[in-house]
Amino acid sequence: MNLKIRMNAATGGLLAALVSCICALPALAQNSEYAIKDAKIVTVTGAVIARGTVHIKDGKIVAVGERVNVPGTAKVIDGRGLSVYPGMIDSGTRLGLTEVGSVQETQDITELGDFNSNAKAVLAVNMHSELIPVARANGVTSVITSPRGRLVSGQAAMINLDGWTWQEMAVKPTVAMAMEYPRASGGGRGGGFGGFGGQAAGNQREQARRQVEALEKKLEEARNYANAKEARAKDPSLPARPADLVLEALIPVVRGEIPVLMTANTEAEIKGAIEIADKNKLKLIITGADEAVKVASLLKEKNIPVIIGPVTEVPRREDDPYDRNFAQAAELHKAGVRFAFQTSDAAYVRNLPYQAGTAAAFGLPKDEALKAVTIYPAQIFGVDKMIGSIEAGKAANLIVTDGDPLEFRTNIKHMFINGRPVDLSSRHTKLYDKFNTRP
Amino acid sequence: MRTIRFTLCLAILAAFTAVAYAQQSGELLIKNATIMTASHGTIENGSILIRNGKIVSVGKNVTAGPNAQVIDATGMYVTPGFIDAHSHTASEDPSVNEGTVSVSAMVRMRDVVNDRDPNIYRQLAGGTTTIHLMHGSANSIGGQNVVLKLKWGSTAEEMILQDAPRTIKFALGENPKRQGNQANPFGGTGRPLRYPATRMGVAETIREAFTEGREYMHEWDAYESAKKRGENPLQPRRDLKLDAIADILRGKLLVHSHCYVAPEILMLMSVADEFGWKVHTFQHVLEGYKVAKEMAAHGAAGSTFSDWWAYKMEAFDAIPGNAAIMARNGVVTSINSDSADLARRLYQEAAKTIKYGNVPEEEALRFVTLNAAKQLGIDRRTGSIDEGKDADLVIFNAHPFSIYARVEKTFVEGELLFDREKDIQRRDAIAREKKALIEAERRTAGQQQPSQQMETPPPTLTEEELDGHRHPERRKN
Amino acid sequence: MQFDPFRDRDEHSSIIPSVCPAKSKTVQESILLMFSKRILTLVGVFVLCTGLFAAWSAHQTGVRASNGEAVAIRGGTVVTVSGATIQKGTVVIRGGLITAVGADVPIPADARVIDATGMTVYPGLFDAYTNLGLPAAAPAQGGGRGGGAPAIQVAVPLTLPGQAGGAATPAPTPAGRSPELLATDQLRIAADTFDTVRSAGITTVLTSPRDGMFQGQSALINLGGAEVEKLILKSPVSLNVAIRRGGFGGYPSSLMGVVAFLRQSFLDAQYYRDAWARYETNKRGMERPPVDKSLAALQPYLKREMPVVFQANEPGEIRRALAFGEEFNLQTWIAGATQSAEVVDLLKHKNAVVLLSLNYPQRPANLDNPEDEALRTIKARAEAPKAAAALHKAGVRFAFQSGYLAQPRDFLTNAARAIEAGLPKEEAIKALTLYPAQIFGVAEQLGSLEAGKIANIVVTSADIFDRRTQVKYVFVDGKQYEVKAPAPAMAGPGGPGGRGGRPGGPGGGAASIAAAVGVWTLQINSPQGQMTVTMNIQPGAGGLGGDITSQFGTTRLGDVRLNGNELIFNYTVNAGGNELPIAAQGTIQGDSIRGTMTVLGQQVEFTGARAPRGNEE
Repeated sequence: MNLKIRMNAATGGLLAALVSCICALPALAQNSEYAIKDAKIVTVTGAVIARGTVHIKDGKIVAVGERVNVPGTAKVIDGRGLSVYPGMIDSGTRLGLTEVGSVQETQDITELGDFNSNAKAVLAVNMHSELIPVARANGVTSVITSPRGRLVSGQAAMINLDGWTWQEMAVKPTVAMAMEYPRASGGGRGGGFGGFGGQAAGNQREQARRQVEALEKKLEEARNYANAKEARAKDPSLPARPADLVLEALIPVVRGEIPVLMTANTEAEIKGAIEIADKNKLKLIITGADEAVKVASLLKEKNIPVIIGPVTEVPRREDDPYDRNFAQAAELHKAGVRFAFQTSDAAYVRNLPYQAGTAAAFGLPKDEALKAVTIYPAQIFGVDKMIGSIEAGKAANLIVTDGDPLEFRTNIKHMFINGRPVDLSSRHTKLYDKFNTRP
Repeated sequence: MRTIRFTLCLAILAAFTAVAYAQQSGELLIKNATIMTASHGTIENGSILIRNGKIVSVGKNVTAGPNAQVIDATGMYVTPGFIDAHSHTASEDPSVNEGTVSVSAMVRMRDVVNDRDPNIYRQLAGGTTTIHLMHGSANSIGGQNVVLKLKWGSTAEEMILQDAPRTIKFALGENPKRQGNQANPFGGTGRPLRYPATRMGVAETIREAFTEGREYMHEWDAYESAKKRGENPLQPRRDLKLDAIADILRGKLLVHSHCYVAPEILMLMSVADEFGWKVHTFQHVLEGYKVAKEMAAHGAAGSTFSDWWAYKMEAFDAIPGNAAIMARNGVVTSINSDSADLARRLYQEAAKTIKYGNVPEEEALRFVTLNAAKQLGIDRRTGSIDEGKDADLVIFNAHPFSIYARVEKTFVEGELLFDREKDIQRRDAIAREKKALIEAERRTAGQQQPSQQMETPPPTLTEEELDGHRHPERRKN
Repeated sequence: MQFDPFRDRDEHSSIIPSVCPAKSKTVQESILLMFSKRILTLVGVFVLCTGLFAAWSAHQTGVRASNGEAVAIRGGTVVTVSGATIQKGTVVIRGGLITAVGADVPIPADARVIDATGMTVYPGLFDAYTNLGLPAAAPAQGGGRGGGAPAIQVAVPLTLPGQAGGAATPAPTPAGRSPELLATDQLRIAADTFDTVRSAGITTVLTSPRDGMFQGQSALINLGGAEVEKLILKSPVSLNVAIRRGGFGGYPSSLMGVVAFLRQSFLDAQYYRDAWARYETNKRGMERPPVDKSLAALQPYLKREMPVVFQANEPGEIRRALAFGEEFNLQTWIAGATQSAEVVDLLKHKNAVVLLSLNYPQRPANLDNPEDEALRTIKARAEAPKAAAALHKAGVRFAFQSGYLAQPRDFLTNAARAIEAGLPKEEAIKALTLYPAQIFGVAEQLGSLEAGKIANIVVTSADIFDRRTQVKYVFVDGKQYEVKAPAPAMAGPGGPGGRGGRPGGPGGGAASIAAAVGVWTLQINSPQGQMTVTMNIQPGAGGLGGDITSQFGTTRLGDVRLNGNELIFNYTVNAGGNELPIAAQGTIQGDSIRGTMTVLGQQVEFTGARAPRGNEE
């Protein structure tokens, strides 16, 4: 029984046999070959192909174009009237790290202590979270999932939303080091342990200053640690130093090999984050980025990308224009700042396309909106060789839709992750079907 | 000083010319629009004539007087103003809960309306014109709610829709029992602190209140009939809490009950039956789809979220097809916000029901207009584009169910209270005025050394931060 | 005793509530028993009051009689307020009264002459709303009352089940619910209590407790010596009410709860009136209604014999107060009214009297970026000095009050700003003298320089609104008091959060506040182990304020009060969406604090230390 198809009775399902009866289970690891034929193909990086074919084999896109020779062995999907897009990427979530919001036992997001550089999100991701199939429902195939809430929260992962093991899911197990720039003003962060609590401005500034100092000190330690390690590697006669997991995990950070995903919202915080990155030669991505527009020229100059969203947040200040957050992406785009969207959530990842669409309603060109949930995040997180567009050689993370994927009324007809068809049913579709037909 | 006053005047002028023009002319004609009436289909190339805040006529052939203001809405869409059946906007009390007691029926949200809540304007900018400002959900029987028209710039009293039926909040499930069984901040688990601690206890708290309320009502009835007999009885003591309960029994106070899971929905209907009243509307009602037939049979409406789920245990079976299934079973269904954010884009929330539940377009529109009006008992006044109704209208630049749609203008009772164009024009003036005031303050501060202190103003919090009783954690990282 | 969950279930909204639990079979039937056994004390609050009134009259005469000295203030500009200003005039004082005022009045031979040449002579100034001379917290009530809580102290704080049958933890602040509370019963005056205020030219104040909703009844006092009986001009003058949320430990915790509580209280007062009226007409065969001192205290206000003063600043608050007053046909006054400019017509229409605060809102000290503030907040500050002119223009009766200003000398400075903002100067001086005298019904005795009036006089070096002016001489009840140079950042009338300071102390103020202000790290010994929270206490207009940060996030502190070195505060945490009120009490010694917190009836201990102060600003 194909639940998704029943749910969208009006549009019907063309692929009942293919998507099969395995509901919301990760796709079988089979080396299959598919061809989506006669569909409109929005490659994102190249021109739109009005009517063409995408050939998928062994998890990869083998060929894409108006004329593609597909061997008879490939399973063919009739794409007439449909469109193919790259699967969407959510640049900031907690997916797999939380199940039920109010149930503390299901939270694996915030570890104790200020420095958790060794904490890895990918190790805690629950591959079988009920939230994952729901997250896929509108075309998201990959997400950043990240620890949160500490000065150094831990290692963020880029994962595909399908797989029996985390190894299967991981696009890049450590894609960035998640940090939070200490808040100099505004509300507290709720953390009692790390001393991040919200206090009245003066003291909070002082507290923030100390936190920044502590962070820089830690980064310096990491540099020293890395140097010593390197020296020892060259000269084994040097005395051994006890291993430090926290510093060890910071080595690729201080060497600029993996970016820092730094939460910074106010103008001062963003500038502070840039200062830290400059001083310590870190590769920086700003997330949150509430006031990024105010720092736009600096961000552009330093080529620092920002992750924004949810754009549907109510403006922070009373005097902010009502559409401040809706229009933020358009302004960043105008200023030449690189950006991508995030839902900053787990249960609502499926609303990612509406983040981008809303930004488009308030001035962002539509193609830019689409890029900001496909190729831009792939570029920002350094996985654009693998995902983010429809190009030969990339992983076959694709969606086949009956329209613009940013639109509410568009339905996802097929989804491929790593070249495997993904079941589009979920806890929601199952419950819907069960009770829609209740006697 | 003079320049400050001048810019100030400018800003005020700018703010009010917008309001004024629709009013003064007497007549306003919106023409050449695609009109989504919510009651009788969509009219292409239609017009709406407004006079004295009311819709005078709507259709393809509408003529206005020679002095009518005319808005050419070619290419635009007009919908009724959206009605949010579950809101906490415009509450002066940030907690919206009188959480110290299990029954807080004596408190009234109408006493604490904050007409300066900036969210009022933000929601107008999303086409929302009417809200149901509700008490929180900490109590089995909560406080009395109030219906507001979002007349930005008017006083609280003027915003209150005086002829709307009175409603009261009930709450079932995790929230009202939380103070009974959750660990307190200093530890301890499962310690019963405030009755009730279980859904059983929630039911009994309500039964107890109605038992008491019924006796109270009888006491008053006895007094009234003694008076009629010419006796001179002492008037019973008025108890505001029991007054409210008695009014529910008398059918004068409509029950809007927060709930999540199927059993508690059935429970409240059975308790209502026992005492002879009706549950008017279930709020949230995320498992309404499981007992939609029973709700329809009871006559209860359902006001739900489009796609919220998983933020708490009792929301784990929530599905985005809930509204569709309830509606399909004959339940008067609406989509509400319970959030200062969602209240700005109820039309988007309605659009989602088309996708997830295959709801017909007009029904989806009714989820945030006419059906919500019915749930609040104000559908004779607002909720659709029909002659004689309040001119609560929204003009969109595109089909409201498109992600690319944007609200251009919002009218409340014929007054243009949001106009995107004017809003954008006004931004500079506001910024200038602020700068001038800050500068002036700086100068005065240089002149004198004030020794008095002022309390730091409370931070502007979002509703999400303010009321944990409603909502998943959806804070930005 | 076994825990009975039904017992705790339902703390009522009523002023006379849970005395009659619904389950109780013995009391169920009798309406009258709702008033319960707890009362009986106060049929005669009035009798007592009347007695007191008589007593003070007598005493005052005594004062005058004891002081036969004559004083002549000669050569100054005499601003009589009620009549024309006299250049080079003379004011003669004897026996506590003004005996003569004029350009050419004879100076008694035995008079001590003060040469006021070049100076200006005014009637003593009024501060029309303060808590001067009152201790921080109301005296503890509730103890020794057996099972009965005071009438208005309705909701017993949530108690632990184990305690439900036993003695409930007394609420930390029994004040705030007791309309019967009289300022006169609480005055604690030391020799120097009034020094600073009097040295700013203020000789008469309306003083009132300032805790909670029903704050008590005010008294008009002269700032004379230390004998309370000799100070009182009139008591009670008004019932003071604040419609503001929280801080009472139990119901009501919300703003709408406060409104409901007040509403139920006045309804109960009406019921009380009717029940007694009925009983009085036919005592035989009728059960006697119980006496309730809170409800009895409300009676004159229901009859409009005296005003109810609501504290309200913002237009919404003012409208709310006026609407409430109208609901019960009260004589409604507004105290504060700093943002009243846009509701002056309504105030006029409702015939409300305004006790206008001169404590203008200030820019918060620790503002990162001034643009972060809302335009309307900045605007409200800019507009505050214009309120007086607007009230005057609309014809609203008003008098100036200090609004708990930290520095009494700012009182006049800020009045001068009202003049700059458009208030005619003669109106400003009246709003400090004759108007309050009229408003409080003492214009026969005070408010202007006229023969026969009480000799409350202030002599200044220049025009009173001149920023450089100095107070040279002050007379209260004819007695001259030393003018003490204002001690910067020292004692004031309540001060920012001083709330009167130590009993017997100099009226609190910055010095005592400093004991509490700062960032505290508290260790709470909970049954689940130690918990660390950070508390930041700052001075604010309405007293001390601040916030507290725990694992449940940051919340603002509710009522923060400092009584000597005892810090009382409360706050509400949102634990997993659940609001839990916490009341705390601690003793500060230097930079450390130790005390107890009560949450849901359970007491836990805490200790804490203050962080060394950084160089802010």
